[in-house]
Amino acid sequence: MTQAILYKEWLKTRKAFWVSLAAALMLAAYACLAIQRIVVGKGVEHVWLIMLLKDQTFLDILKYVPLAIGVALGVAQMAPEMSHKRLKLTLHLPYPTNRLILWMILLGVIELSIIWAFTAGAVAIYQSTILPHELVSRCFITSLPWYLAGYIAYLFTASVCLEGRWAMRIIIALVAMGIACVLFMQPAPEAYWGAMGALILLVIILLALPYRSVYRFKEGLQD
Amino acid sequence: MQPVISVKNLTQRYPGGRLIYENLSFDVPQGRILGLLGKNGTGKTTTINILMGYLKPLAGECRIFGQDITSLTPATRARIALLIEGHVQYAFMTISQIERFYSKFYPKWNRDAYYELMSRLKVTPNQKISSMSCGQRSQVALGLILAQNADLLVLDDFSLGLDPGYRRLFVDYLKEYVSAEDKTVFMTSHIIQDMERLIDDCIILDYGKILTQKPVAELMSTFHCYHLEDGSRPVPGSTPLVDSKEIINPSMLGSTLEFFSFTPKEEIAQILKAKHLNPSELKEIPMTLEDAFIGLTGKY
Amino acid sequence: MAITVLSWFLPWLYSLLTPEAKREPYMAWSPVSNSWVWSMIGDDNRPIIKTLNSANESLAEGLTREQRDSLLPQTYYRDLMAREQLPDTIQGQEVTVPALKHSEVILTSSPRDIVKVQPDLYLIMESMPLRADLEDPKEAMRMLNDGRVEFITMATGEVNPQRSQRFSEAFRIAGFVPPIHDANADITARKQRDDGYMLIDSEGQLFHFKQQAGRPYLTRVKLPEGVHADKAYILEAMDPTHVAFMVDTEGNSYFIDIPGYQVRQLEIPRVDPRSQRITLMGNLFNIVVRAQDASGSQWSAVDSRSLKRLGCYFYHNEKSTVDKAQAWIFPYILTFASTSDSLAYPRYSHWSWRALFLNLILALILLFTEGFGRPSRAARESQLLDEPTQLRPGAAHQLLPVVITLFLGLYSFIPFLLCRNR
Repeated sequence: MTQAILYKEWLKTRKAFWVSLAAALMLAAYACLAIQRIVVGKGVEHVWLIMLLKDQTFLDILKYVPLAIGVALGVAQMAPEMSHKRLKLTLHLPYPTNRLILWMILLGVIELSIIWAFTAGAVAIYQSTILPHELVSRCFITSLPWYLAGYIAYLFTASVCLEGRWAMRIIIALVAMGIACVLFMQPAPEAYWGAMGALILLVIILLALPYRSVYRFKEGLQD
Repeated sequence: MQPVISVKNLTQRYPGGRLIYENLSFDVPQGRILGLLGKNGTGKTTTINILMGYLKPLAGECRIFGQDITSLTPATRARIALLIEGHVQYAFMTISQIERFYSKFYPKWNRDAYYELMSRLKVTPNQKISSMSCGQRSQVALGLILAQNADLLVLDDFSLGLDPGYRRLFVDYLKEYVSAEDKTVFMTSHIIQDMERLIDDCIILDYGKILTQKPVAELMSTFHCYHLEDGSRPVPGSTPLVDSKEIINPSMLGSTLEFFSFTPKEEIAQILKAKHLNPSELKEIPMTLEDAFIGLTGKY
Repeated sequence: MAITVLSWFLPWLYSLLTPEAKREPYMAWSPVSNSWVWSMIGDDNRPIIKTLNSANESLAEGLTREQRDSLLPQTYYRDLMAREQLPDTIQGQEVTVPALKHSEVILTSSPRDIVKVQPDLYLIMESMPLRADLEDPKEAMRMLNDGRVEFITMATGEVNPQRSQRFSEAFRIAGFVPPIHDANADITARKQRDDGYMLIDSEGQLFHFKQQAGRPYLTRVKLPEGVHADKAYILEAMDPTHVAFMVDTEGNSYFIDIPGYQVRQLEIPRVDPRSQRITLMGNLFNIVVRAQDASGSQWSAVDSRSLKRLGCYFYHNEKSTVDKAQAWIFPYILTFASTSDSLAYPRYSHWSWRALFLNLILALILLFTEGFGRPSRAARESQLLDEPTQLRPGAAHQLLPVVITLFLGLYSFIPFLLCRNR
């Protein structure tokens, strides 16, 4: 049964997943090419210099990509559940509701994690060829909050989609925007390193957010 | 024997505050087909939503297979096949994908029943449901319900959006299926024609109340439509019987007064006599279920 | 969640909607009149200039720009030259343009550049290049946990074993205790000369470190008993006398001077480079240090030779009406970033008792408007349906938003109001 649930979620999300993965990898390649251009033009030393003295990571183009992917995947997965209130079908399946929602969300989280792993991996592999591990990990740590923002965007989008009332949807979306702003307000590299534990905790807490929307749906709080 | 569905003192309101019904109680015994009939907005879908746990009622208790509907176990849910309003299914799946998906959940899954019905559709197994016509989609939804082989079928407005041919096909299929396997059905519809061929019992809802709740055969034998010719009345054009509690929904059809009643013809004749009307002009008109429905609920 | 977002968003919005320009005076010490020269741009965009004595009492007010220029020849010597007003001697010292230029020392330090996560990689320049001009660094250095250092050739990413070994040896001999607590250098080829790094080890010892002809130059600066360095800056001024400026763990300021790396304390109040923006401007006659933070600026002037105090002036930022109103509106403020560091984490500040008045009003509004403290609509409906009237079991639970609003005020009032009817 679990397999069947994952199968259904995969059918909904596979297009968004492949498109997102391709887009993320292309942008990662673009970011690497931008570094490579400097390497060819001014030498590797210049990349080190800019990274160490100007607090640059050359990854700004990837900054909002996870956020966009999180939203896209959330919509691809949850909007079909809400059009014509298909969630009723899903909730009627002879499967414990909590576990059902958990698997739905987990699949989304796993798909995002795969995209993140490939994107961050591609960047790190390229950087390792020209940069010391200190700078590679610095770039990775700098981009971590962006990826966390992707999970948060996904969970909030899922909740907005599953929410039955427009007024509550708007409130959830506003809170989501507020949290997203907080994650992008400090551009300095590794600025969020100290708050990473709290951010991961936030993502874990937010896993409960879609549950809230589903239980509100089950209570009949729909427009 | 324990009823399959048991509803006690159900009370519900619309979000705006209008009362849908209060103290609605009914049982659906095993092997029966119960139709919940009513005009639009009388709370048919609301009742199904409550029964399936998508809406919290203001008051009342509902049980399905003896379990409180707020805590239906997955095993019990597996015994219930649900058709939601508009024959909605997972439109992003193809015919074969959706079969593969649902078959994992139901132990008594009947793959052949599904594919037999699908073979009648002019579609390929890899066609997406979203690209099908409304009728074809309904067939898919029906096929899935039949394949599920559930003990209780809950069908919300199954006729919505179906053309007459499909409606007839659906009804025939369902009737055969239910009678052969001793299934229980709880269904709603606002097209009464189809129901007559199908349902055993009916509940007719009006805004805020239940009008009647009895087996269709009983309803049809005890509910009557009467015509009274104009000439029998002292003042032509007047409706002298409106104040009698036995008379339901009197209206004028040209020069004829039409009214409905649960009272037999002889007693109506007595009432007419008491009002100095000539009962010899009273005629009982044969009715379909739809006529009876309109007789009870009024034309608008 | 909504409360947290609002705790940050509302004060941010408030400050965005109530922009105000904060003006602070600019101070300089006049060697001519031996007094502060205080200047600030007035409301009419014209400078207000006055002089203050070392006790910060006003001496002369309403000075003109020309008068100010003659009081501060160390700054405005070009204008004075043009007007042929540059004096020959001041305080018995001969005043020439080259001498003035030669004695200039400028240093700025911002907490944003200190309180941040930095990689433990140090770009190393060659202080004695073969050709006359300095070149951009070709190598970087990292210090391992055991105190050994590795020199990495940036172009190849490879470790240079000979140089690593040579420098590791130098660090070991100098008694450097890893890890590096602080390192400061100005890595650029566009300067007159390279003095390398000032390094502070984990025990607060101060070192001067540079690469000369591929060889290590590492000298431990002998600090006075009990003094532990916290932050040091390489100065690379035209006059090489002051090698570095150092602040110890107590906030005392020092110059490290050649010859012999003498440690000379400046007679100024304590400063904290981790929370204050430090500006040091030195000239032939005096050195003025400004330590600035949100509350205001602390200006100190010392004699450039003796480093003895000439004057000290504190400018407090007046709280504006907007700021005062803020304390009545918001019970506290949540921020994530700060102007004084490069980190992001939740910071709770500005707890205000005054906002409790507003909190109380908002809590009462919640209490008396429908929804809270009274039976919900559903309950009232069930009463309409002639069900036995009963006390809601959730009445205490429904009071919770009122209690929360009493403390969190506007931040919880808005979400509770919006979610009241769900």
